[in-house]
Amino acid sequence: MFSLAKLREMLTWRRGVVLTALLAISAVAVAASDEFASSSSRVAKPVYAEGKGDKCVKEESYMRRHHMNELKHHRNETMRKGIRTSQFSLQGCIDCHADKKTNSVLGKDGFCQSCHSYAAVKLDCFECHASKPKASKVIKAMPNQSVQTGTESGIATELQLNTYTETVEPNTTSGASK
Amino acid sequence: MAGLAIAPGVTLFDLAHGRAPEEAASSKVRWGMLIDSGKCATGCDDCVAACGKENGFTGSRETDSQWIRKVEIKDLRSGQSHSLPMMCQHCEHPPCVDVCPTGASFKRADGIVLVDRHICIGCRYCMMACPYKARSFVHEELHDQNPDVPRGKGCVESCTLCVHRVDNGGQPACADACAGAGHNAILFGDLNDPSSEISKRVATLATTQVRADLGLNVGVRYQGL
Ligand code: SF4
Ligand code: SF4
Repeated sequence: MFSLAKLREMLTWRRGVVLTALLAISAVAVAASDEFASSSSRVAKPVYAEGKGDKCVKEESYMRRHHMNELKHHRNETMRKGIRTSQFSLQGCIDCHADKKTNSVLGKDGFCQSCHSYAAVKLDCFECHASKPKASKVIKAMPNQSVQTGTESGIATELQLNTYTETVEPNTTSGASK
Repeated sequence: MAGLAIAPGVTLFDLAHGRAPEEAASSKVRWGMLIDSGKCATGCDDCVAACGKENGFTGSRETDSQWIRKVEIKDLRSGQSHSLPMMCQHCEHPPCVDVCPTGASFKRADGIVLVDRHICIGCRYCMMACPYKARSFVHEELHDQNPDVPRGKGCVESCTLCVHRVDNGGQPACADACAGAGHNAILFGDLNDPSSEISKRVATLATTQVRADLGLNVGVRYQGL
């Protein structure tokens, strides 16, 4: 015998499943349309060029909301105490997020600038901090992809290599250090 | 940096001071330099050039910062002259820190005096307080900074003792350059460690602090003055 209570319970369970499924589908749809600015969306989304790294130091959702706090905390630790861990180091962010073409997080499609312009939040880190990765870092580029690197004098060199070492701004004074 | 090995177990300079990245600078260490004016060559400015290259200024612009400069001094009676580099002396009791209204000027636990540019308002009070004229104000916008040395318009700055190198186990660019040129006039090390080369020299040789009368107990000492 079916009790009324059991029937009601089953029904709500079913409704729950259906609702969850619907939500999941719409979430996927939203996520898909969220990826980049599509012509159909009413509001333009920030478009930024692909960076060099593959995985962030923390979930993207967390970083989107809290990167400024983490960076500020880390800057104080580094500045005042000399703690130089890599997780929330601005240099680390730049190493990964620099545009493969321009080698910078600035510029119209730069990772930092595109979003900050979109959100109308002034970005003053780069008045002092370099917006490009450190010159001596070896950067992995996609196979058979031509990479443009600018030197200090503005000459662009084309490299057809899997890995290359930047030749910009020599920062060490002699081979003896580091 | 492992130091330069000249024989097994013997290194040219002791640089085994690399801290783990998560370890904070400690007051057990006091970084300092000993400058031998007898070895410092008149006319040589390799240390000044190296500083500019490392930290991003060339001296080509009138307003460029000056973290280190060469000073020639001459005793008019005896005619004896000295050549020496002069920079922030990393005072134990730094007047620049005393006067700073914002807390931007500060002394790190290991004795390195720095400006926190995030907080500096560019009032330049510290420039007036420093007895060694060690500080500069950045007047113009800067580009292409060394990623390890963020610098920008509107802040005061001075010698950081190449803190970014020291934290990675290295020594200041000026000391490297001087050794590279074969003069070895700049010795960098830990004044608190009795076994360090600098402590041994300070303990046995006649070294002086410039303007010792001010009682600032500076971290940069001179030999042969
Ligand atoms: S030398 Fe000048 S800038 Fe350096 S710690 Fe002393 S007072 Fe401050
Ligand atoms: S210029 Fe900056 S560091 Fe110097 S006293 Fe003013 S706020 Fe402090």
